[in-house]
Amino acid sequence: MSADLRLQTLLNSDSHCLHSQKQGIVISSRVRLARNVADQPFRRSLEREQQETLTQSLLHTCAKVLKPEDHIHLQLDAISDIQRKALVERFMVSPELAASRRSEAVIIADDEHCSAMINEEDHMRLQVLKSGLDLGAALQEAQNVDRQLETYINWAYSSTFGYMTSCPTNTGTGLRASVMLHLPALAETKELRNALRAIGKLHLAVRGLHGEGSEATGHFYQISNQRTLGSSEEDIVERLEYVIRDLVEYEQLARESLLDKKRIEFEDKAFRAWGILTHARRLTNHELIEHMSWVRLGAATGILPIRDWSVLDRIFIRTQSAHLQLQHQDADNGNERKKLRAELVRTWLLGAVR
Amino acid sequence: MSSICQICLKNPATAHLSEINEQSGEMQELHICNSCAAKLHLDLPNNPPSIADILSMAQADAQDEPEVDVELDISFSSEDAEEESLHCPDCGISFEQFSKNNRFGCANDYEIFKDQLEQLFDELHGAKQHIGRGPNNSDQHAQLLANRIRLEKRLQDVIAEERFEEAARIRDQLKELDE
Repeated sequence: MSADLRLQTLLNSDSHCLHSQKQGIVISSRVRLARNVADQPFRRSLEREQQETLTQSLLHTCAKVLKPEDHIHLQLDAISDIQRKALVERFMVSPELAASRRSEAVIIADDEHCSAMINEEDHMRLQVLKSGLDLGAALQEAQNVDRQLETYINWAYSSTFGYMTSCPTNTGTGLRASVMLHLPALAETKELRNALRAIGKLHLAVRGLHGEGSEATGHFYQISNQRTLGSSEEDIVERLEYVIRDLVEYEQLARESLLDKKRIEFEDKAFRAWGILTHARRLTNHELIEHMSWVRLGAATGILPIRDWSVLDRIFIRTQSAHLQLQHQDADNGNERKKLRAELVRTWLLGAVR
Repeated sequence: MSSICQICLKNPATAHLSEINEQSGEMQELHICNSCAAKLHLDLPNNPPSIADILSMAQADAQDEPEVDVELDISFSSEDAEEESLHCPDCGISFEQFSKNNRFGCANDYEIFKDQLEQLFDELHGAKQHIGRGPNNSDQHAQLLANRIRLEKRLQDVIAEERFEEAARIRDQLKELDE
């Protein structure tokens, strides 16, 4: 199958790595390692031709480890803008890489659990994505791939600074571990602000769905380590997981307290959201995520009769703008997309009722 | 001209004052850099204050701002400062450019800006030294040593966080490592 056909298949399927766990509180765990090739200028100082050559050479080398049999190798300038955006929506590519107009590439495992961005801010950013809370396994896998790559590539490394990266905030391990969480009950009980403030003190960063600068619509958050130098990879991951476990527990307590003390208000909100999503004829993505937040909470607490969680994860990915545009040719304008989104959400949600 | 500024003890001095103490008859010298001169609002070419005055002004200034903001000093620009600024011979970026964009141009910048980076890394990461794996980390002794440093640091952290059970576990691991 050609790379283009494989990409199309991937973009038309549910994500393999976003199966929410713990009543939908933990969506996914992600680990990424930033690496640069020794004796090559960093991305920002590369001339256009130099970058082109480096991209080709890295693609060639990576093919030995991330084998073309089960990984799609893509030059980003060879695919459409909408395909790029869809890859961002699936968390395979950063918004920065998708927006660039120079020669960049990405390698994506057919099941999306592993991917490598080539010539984003660093020469290589290796990512491993896992469903639920599984940072340890994600780290192990990323390190395993990195070790194999190291037999072919000499990364820029010093015993003082560790892996040398383009931005000083990644220096050392080059490791960013992050967990995507849904914390609607904590937000509702106003405890969230305190919890997130405490997290800031532990040198962890809290962001919205699509990383830096993105809004936390629908109470979806990404929590990640800020510090990359001076702790081992294992410690960074362990510390983050420790905090995440606490947050999950707080969210569970907040849910119990909502059910206990404000049951009617809670039911009202969940059923209203359900009503809108199963009856609306037009939906913006923002609106969808806001209501989905209540529907997920309703499903997790047994208030809404949803039998099949995978539908909620599917809606999360496949009703975003670029995904709609790829599936339907007439979805190139906003109004058509809103209509199409409402149709899909309605069909999928009603199909998931027990 | 190789003397270092006696005020900030960091930048190369660009102005050199000398005077004879009226009482003791001793010769006194002061070397000062552009950025300290500007910070103390000195008009050295036209109206130089006495060395004793400059030193007391510098002392008062240091008390006003106990934490010296390195970035501020570095972004201070005059022709002299520009000439003296650090440049990486490999990628050509200066420390000013790096500070402005917060992006290195190449790995050699880490070596060239080494002295300036210590404070930055301390602020960003609370550390200056990498602990963690590196390429071809097959040297067993180095691995064990790194492990030990890692556990000791971890122990401090968990004690600070009052996670004593965890601390006991780490102590056991350290004991094992020593054996």
